[in-house]
Amino acid sequence: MKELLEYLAKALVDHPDRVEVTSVEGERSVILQLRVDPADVGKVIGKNGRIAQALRTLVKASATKEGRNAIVEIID
Amino acid sequence: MENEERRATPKSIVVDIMNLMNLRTRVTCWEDDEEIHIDIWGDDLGILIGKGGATLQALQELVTIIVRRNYRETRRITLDVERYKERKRKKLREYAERMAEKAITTRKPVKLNPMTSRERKIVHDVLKEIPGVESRSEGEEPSRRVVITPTSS
Repeated sequence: MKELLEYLAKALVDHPDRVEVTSVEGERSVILQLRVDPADVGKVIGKNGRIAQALRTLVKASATKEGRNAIVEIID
Repeated sequence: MENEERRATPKSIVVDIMNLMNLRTRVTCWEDDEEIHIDIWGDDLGILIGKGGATLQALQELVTIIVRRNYRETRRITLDVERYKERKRKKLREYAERMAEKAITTRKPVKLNPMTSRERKIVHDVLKEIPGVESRSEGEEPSRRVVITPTSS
């Protein structure tokens, strides 16, 4: 899941080298914290949060496959 | 992914995502002047479709944005999983036809289930071809729906 979010975020931003994902693993859930360059925050959130929502939907689907819940936080 | 020599394509981006999601899939692609269409095939891909197609929609949005911004692609990019969208369109058309018949036999307006604008468009297009009925949409999103009325004759 971490790798998936990292891949997608890097493909969306102007500064892929500044993309950082940290994960806090629980038994049934995982919290993924996404950090990007301040100039790129809009690129991972999108108009009305559309891109952030799409990222969450896809990461959650991937987590469901492993029987877990995933929470994506975008840190700005 | 890190190799800048390799030019990514819409298909290769989808393949990367499938691998990162640990899904065993086969990905096929066709394109013309207006559209790049990617089909994803495999077993047990319900997870990739999601409730009402939500996950598939999210995937399509992300792939579209990634391809557009990195490769100056302007064509429409569409994704489908196991022909899910195509099957859904077929069901919608059949539903519209059944309800049109009902409106004609009962001579009363028939209200359809609430639908998205895209779904309503498909329904209106079907109804246009059926003599003896007219259609319009009423109500506010997200409960906006098509109403079929028999034309007086």
